[in-house]
Amino acid sequence: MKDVSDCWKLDIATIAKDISTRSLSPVTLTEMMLDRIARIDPKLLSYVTVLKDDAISSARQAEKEIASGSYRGPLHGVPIAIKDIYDTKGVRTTACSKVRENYVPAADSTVVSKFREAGAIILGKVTTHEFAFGFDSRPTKNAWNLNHIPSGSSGGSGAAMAAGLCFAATGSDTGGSIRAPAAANGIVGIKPTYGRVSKAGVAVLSWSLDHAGPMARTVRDLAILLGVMAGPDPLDPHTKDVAVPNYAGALSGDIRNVRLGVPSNYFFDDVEPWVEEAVRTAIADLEAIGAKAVPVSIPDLDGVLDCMLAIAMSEASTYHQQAMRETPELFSDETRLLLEAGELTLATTYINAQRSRLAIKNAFRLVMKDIDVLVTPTQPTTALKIGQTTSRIGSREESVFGVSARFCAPFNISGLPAISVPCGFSPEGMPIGLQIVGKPFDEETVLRIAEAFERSTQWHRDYPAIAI
Amino acid sequence: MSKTEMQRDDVERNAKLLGLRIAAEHSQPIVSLLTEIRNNVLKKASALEGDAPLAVYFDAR
Repeated sequence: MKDVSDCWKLDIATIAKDISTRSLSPVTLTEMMLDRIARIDPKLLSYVTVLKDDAISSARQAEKEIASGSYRGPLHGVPIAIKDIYDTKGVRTTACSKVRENYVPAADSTVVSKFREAGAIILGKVTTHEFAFGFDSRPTKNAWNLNHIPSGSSGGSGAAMAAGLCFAATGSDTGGSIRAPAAANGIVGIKPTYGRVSKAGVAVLSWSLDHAGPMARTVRDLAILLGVMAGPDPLDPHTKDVAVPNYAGALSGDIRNVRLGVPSNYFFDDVEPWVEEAVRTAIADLEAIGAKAVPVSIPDLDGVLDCMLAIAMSEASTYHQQAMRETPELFSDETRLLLEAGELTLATTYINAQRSRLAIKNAFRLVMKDIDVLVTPTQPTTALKIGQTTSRIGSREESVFGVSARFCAPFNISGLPAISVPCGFSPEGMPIGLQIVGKPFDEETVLRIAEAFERSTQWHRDYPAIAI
Repeated sequence: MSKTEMQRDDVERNAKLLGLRIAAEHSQPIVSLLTEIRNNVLKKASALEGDAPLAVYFDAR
């Protein structure tokens, strides 16, 4: 058996080979991760619940199965973390809210169930912004600098991944909550097409904007994870019966003649200079390996964040209507205010937001007609400091919500698949993300381009000091 | 269409009608948030054709 002390740096694709050939023990690997969580997480605060005994027991089971020749695939024996809005049978699922402090689901969410069937080891539950309705994920800190937020709402997933406290994590994304923390923590995360992954058993923020997806160290790992997560689910009527391709098998590294749409408006407006430089360098790197950059004009997105908020607030306040009557004081002040406002949003505002949404979706369809993907910064800046309530870039001052959702939310509105991959660092050493956006249900192309970028760069091989 | 002229009293009265206990200090932030959202959504929607459809995600297949 191999020495596992440095294995936390490896990706799933690499460790799976060693697990399948029995040169790496799932039990030893799980113990190593649990030890790292015990040592590092008291500073990072990314885990809500650590399932030490369950994880060791599942790892022993995986080891037995593999030894008897029943290898289930690349997630068999691999320790992962679950965002605390995904139901886990018999395990407290708090959504990081006092409202759900003692909620113990009777069944697994569909995604967790699929991961268990694939043989993954669940290390525990990681933090989220309360009910995924925000971008700072308190009390979790950013692994690259403990004075900064990990972004959110999948901030626990992002921080735990960056610090090497799991090999993958689940996320959810309503206005950027997978991609923003992926960018802020120097890891990868994909928001698949709306309807690609089941949300059954995942606490609702907004039925029509929520997306479930994976976060990981490499794009190849995302391909493996998405392959397990994707597919129609009778328990989730939003899922679509669209064939799930072999994502990992499509990672050829060949992106010759792929057309990259580079926005000439909106996505490079009011961006920190080091973010723009990193993203434009990334586009040049993609061109150097065969892609063709094509300037594109983005439809008018003024008001898109207000449409997103009108929809999210209205739907969230419907989901929490009873709790807001019975125990409103249990919500954090910030969440409670948004839910109160959601109850008082006019039906005509909600309907106009949904009508505008369709127009935005159709406008993006036209933009995407002559290109394969759009490339943009994931965020206009890097992770904000803890306690920072606004961000100033040039003359533009924005709320945390505004700056976090500005480049991500248009793809929750349009439902298009979008990935964030690391593409550089700020002068302060904080990670920067490149967003690649594809056509509906074409995650395959998004992943292929992102993986080709990853092959030709080294950004994903940097680790924060807290992890080492 | 004219801009919303919502006041704190409107928020408090509507919340009471709905049986919603809003936090005392939230009335004004709610007025600001709802006014901004309604006006911006209305502006966005005013660019649509009058019979532009409602986006539905229900799939009747």
